Amino acid sequence: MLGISAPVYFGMSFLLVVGFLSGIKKMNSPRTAVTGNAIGAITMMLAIILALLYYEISDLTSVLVAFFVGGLIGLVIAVKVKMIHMPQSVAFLNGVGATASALIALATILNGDATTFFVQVTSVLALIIGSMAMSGSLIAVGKLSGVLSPKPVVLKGHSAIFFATVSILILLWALSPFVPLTMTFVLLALGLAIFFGFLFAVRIGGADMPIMISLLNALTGVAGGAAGLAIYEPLLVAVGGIVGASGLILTQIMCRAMNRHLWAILTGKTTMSSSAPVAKKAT
Amino acid sequence: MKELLLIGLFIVSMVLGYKIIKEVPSLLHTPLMSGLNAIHGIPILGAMVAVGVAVMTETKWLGLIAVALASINIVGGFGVTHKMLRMFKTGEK
Repeated sequence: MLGISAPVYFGMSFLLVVGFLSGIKKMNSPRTAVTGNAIGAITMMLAIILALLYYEISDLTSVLVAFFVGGLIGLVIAVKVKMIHMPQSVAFLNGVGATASALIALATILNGDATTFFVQVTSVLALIIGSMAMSGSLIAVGKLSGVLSPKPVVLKGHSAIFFATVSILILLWALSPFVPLTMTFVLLALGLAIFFGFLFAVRIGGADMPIMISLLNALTGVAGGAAGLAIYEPLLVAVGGIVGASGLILTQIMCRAMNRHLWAILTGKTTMSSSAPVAKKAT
Repeated sequence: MKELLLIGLFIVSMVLGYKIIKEVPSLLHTPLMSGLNAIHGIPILGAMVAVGVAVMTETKWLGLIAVALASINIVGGFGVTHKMLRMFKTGEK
């Protein structure tokens, strides 16, 4: 194997981060957007090759098989998808990416690598955010594809359950460096996070779905960044941070364009014509 | 020390991510979202590392599944974005 030293790897990671940034920047304008997307794709490919060389992964064959199987499925999705099915395919891909981050965190914990304060905190964070983005995205796919009703579903005492779930999740996260990360702990965090994603997504109406997908997108970025912290992978940390922040800004911009407040969307307020004082349909 | 550097890196990248998105025309909201979606398939690196460091068969499988999922995200994401953008171009002509 070609040995790449750590400083060289960090230097090249830095260049790749610049590549991703310029790709995103070019996607800000219609004229350069196609180039921007291509730059992003090429940078991603270089990043994969670089990581394969640097980490000298022992089980290279199975990694490559997994990579090609996944790539083939992705290709089929990209080729087959019709324009009208774009939103749910983006939501689906987002959910898939979020699952990958959650699985990295899960593998780190189960592997017994989460022994220090730092790794425990970051891996549990990646697990929680990744799995809530996963279930939220799946609900979005269901709603957009018509499997689920596109109307906002509000459970009895929705807000109370919502805040209780958040509080327990935050508590679990705060406890994570001080307790052993047993199977029970992991399953509890995982279950609650999945439930939270469901609670969060099910209340959002069909018209607000793009904004929610964008928000879930940002969450997946943060989950990736947290997973990167847990396994000390600088490139993952940097790209996770970039996508997390720019996804959040994009969510804000989309809210403004649709003349909606993020908070109102999250709490499902104005989408419910019955309780809204000004019954204005944002279309 | 290494931890602090990583956290610093995370914060700096968030600031960069914050700065890079400016006034995006609403036409491009969805493709940009989709492009960001493809880029956050980057956990594939982490997944490959997870496979490499796995000491148990179970965790190795988790890592391999994560590699497959992340590559669906990457290939599908860039493909879908490209399709979307191409659509706009022909629409303008």
